Amino acid sequence: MTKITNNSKVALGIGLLAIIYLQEALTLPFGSAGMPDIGFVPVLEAFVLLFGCLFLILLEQFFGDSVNGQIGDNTAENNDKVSADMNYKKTAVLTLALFIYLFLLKPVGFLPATIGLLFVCFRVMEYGKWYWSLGVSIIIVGIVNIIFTKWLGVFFPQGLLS
Amino acid sequence: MDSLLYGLSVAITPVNLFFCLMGAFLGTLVGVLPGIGPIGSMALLLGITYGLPPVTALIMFAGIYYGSMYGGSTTSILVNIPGEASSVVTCMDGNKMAKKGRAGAALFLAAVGSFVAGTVGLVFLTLLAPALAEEALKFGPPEYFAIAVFGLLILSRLSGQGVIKSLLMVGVGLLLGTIGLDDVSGQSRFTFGISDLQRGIDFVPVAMGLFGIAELLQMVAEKSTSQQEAVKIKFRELFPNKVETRRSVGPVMRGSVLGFLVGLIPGPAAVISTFLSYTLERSISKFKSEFGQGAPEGVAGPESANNAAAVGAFVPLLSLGIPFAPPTALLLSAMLIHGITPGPLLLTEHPEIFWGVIASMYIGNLMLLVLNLPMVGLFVRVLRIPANLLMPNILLLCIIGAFAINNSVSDVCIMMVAGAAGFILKRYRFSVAPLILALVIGPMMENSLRQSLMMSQGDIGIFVRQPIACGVFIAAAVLLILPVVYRIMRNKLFPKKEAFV
Repeated sequence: MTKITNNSKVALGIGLLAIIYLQEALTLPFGSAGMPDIGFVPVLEAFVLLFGCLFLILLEQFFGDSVNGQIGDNTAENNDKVSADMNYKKTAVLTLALFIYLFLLKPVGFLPATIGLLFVCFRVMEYGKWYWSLGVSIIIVGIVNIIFTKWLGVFFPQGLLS
Repeated sequence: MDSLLYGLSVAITPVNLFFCLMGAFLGTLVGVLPGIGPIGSMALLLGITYGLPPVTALIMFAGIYYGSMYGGSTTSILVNIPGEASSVVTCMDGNKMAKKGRAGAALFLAAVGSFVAGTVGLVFLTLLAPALAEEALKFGPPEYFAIAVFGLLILSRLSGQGVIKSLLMVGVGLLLGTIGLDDVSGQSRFTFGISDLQRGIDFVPVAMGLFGIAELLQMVAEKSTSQQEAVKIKFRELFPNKVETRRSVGPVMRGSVLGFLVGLIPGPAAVISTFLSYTLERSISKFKSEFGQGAPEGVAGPESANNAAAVGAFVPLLSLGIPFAPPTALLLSAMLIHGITPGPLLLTEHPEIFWGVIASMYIGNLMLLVLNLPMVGLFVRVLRIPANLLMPNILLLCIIGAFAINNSVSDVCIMMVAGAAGFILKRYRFSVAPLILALVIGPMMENSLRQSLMMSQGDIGIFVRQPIACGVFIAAAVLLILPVVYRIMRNKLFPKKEAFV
């Protein structure tokens, strides 16, 4: 069975996005060519994008070798080679930390949440001992907070510190 | 000439010179922060000018504008995070030059290119301002639409990753551009009940996510964090060598003229000018294969073009009182705050301001060069910071940059989501530059298409009947067809396997 190439995977993802978008676009008033409404351009864009995705997938399936031959490192073999060298565990930890941070930013506040995020980031990136990472996180976030709050008038969420 | 000398007499007072220098310095300082481009810098620093006399305030504000424009390109070159849409193109070759140990040369070329382009633009501004502004007003919705289509077609050829893949990225950018309140009717769409999405998706958090956060995740994934050694750069490597200098002269001059002319056109002129310049340079260069891999032309041309476009954007602002781009809209608000209404009467009612600001731009431009060339070494030292210390700090600055746009957590959310998406796209070798630029151009394109169709009552012939629009469409068609014809001819003459994507 033919392996799905990276280009096809991305095209499938974008295609899915375009379908969700199209579904929403079709609920908007379309208007007419002479009086286009707010759904006019989105519907056209979604159809063109869907067509583009389909075209890329078909191209990959039927002309896969010649297509990937030019791009080189996009072939299935190369994908496996690249995947083996990747550290997905750390990437997953950091990504998770980023999304947890989003939920904590408002209720906990900018200072504690950002110190926590930076600490995780330093640990994931193997920056010294844990207490160094924590110390550097506190100092940097503290300085940045003073500069932006006092001098530049940016008001971060206070959370627990309000 | 007398008017310019009068302007110089206004600008060259110790107080005005000091504030011009301060503006350029502060603008550079804030603009250097990833994600905080000219708009962010100007918005953050606007308050500083409140207490100053009008002329001094505007001179300082113009300095901030210039400084932040230059600062934005610094982050693109050093850490691959564009602070503004017009620096996206600079990332493509500037950061590659930095990775090859030519960061100093790239920054030097950007600084000198910006200076030359700024000066060329100012000469045009001084000589042609009123006449050019009238010409720019002839642009209506069909012309804007034609320019947007032309721009997007050029975009599809920019990334070097294949036309179809780039067009898909353009498509995603266009979809994202439709989210929020519709400019024509004021109705909201694609907000999925999230009120923060009503103001649309700003390109800044998207750009910071797709470039900055994605880069961070990529570094972690590639296990290249703690092991990566700090880059050591010798003094002589801070400057471009003879070959780089020679290759940059033409792009700087072409970028200056092209950028100024594009700057007169309403819309995201600075952005359009950069990719027009990049495409032009790539199409005429003898070193086509080096583009995207660290070609000096890819830095010198677009950097000159965006600075010249920034000067060009002053023409409609000073002559007609119409801001064609967000930074000039901020300048307009600064003028209004100080009780000055720009427009045709500015020259007669406040000649000291009109000519004072123009003259101060010459000085500010020179100051920026004097200020930034010695700082090239300092900026390059950023690359000597180990990645595992630098990247978390960049993450912090990205969070602040995204938050500061609207003082809203939702922009930080958008940045994080864009970062995760950017990581996947990077992993699968999809260039994200077309997506960002399409996000910027998209709303203008949609509005102009709808307005054109309304004007013609649904007759698409309007795009052919308008001579400027028709000319632009012909150029776009040539741009699209020419490479295909060239490829077919080449395949017939030298048959071999050819790629479609």
